[in-house]
Amino acid sequence: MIDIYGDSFADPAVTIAGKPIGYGGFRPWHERLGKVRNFAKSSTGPHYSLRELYKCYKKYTKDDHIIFIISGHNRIHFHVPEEFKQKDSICPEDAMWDPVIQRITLYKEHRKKPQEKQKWYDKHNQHMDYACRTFQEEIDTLTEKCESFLYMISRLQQCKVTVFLLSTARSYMKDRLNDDLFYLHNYGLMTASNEEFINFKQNRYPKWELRANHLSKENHDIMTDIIQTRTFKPFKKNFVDSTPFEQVEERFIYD
Amino acid sequence: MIKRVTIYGDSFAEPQWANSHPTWYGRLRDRWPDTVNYGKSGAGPMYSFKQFYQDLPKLNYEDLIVFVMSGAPRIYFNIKEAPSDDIHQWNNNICRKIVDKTHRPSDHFQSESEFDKWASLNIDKARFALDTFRDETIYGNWKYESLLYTASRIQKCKIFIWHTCMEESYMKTSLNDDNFYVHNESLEEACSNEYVEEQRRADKKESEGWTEKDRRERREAFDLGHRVNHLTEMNHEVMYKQIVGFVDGREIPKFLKNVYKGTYNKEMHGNLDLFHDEFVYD
Repeated sequence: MIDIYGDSFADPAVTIAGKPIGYGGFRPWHERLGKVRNFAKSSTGPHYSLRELYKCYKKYTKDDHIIFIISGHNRIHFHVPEEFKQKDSICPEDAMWDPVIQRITLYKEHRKKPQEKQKWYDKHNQHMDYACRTFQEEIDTLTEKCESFLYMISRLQQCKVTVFLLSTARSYMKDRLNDDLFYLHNYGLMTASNEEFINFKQNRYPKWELRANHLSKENHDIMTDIIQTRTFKPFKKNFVDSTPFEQVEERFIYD
Repeated sequence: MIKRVTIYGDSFAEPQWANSHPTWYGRLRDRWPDTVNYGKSGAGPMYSFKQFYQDLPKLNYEDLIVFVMSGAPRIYFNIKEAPSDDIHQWNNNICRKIVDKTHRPSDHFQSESEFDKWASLNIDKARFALDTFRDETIYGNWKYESLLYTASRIQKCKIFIWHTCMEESYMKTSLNDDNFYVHNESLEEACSNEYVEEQRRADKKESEGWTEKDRRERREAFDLGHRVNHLTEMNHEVMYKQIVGFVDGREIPKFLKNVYKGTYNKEMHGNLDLFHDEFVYD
């Protein structure tokens, strides 16, 4: 069995400009691997993905393969009390700790802000703030612990583990412990996504994402190849015309 | 060649107790003068790892890390209001208030009234924090020991771990090698197994109708006056030899059992109810 954990780089439910995934006439990397269970969810971080992994990790054996994308460590899957649980508009990761102003802020979307989410935030932002202050060091080191835990699973369960990170800057292990069971791709997916653009520095924050899982077909091919061979292969760079990707605001394109 | 030793942990490593006889960490310091002991009574791994995260990048093949991995539920809550000496006491009380809705505040400690004031204002926030990070807490020690294991690979330092409870270990002894060692007896077990069988039976007879938790708390209460770091001098010696055995590649001895007859002193300790709200080995 192949199990996939991660964020929008692997989310099977992503729609591109209102059209379902596959837009562009190709199958995304996570649909080319045979039978998979895909737990990836857009906007989430390792805090969410680990919760999913905890449910399964002891069942893995040598016949299994875990693919884990470690996204932003500060995307916290905050508790949503019962009274708000039925509200689909609440994405707990939209409340984020701002290290500059040292408090929780609510992500401002391009679209109209859903009222329920604002109510949830207004009622609980001090609680979130307290949770972040209490667990600050644990949050800051989540990437290191996540990759270490995945490495441990590969040792103890003897299953294959393939790890990608959005940014390798926070990686503790990098590719230093790669072997037959464990493979960490030492190149960030966010970087790969951005570097697809011609003159990407000028087009760092495009307004519209038109690519399935933030990558073009060429890099879906490479991603598939990396997972199947578990060897380093560089992503293709500098080939996407940025014109349709209208530049806007400060939000990262993959959020 | 090891040149530095750093110790992290709870009351099993707390250096403030070391007066009456040689201790395992004192003997380590005799052999390696550059020994730092961050052990703190009542501390959980979250407290210990605050320090370890800072130390990690500097570790190398000359470092020996000794870790007492205590209970992951000992969350280190953010309590700037707590008097510094009482911070772990406050943390334990918060945990208890969150878990046990029937808990009644004790008035045995002066700090309790301050704590109660704090709790009445903040317990909902603490509960929300725990709800958010519940899984991180439950599986905390598995991730901590994973990080220690990868640290032993990457930094090339030696790491020795005791768990206070073996159920909180994922890897147990399965990855032990020259640079990494998890001892296969928990410190809680070692602490309890020191009692001579007769004393255990006497405890049992005297305390018929008590729960196992009551009996264990009673046994642990003895320690406040009698055992340094909850263990006899003989097992302090064993702990030292366990670490040295790991470092020198020699046999690692097991803890001694049935060697301690508890001598509980009622006058000294007062009513046992006083301890019922405490974690057993705090």
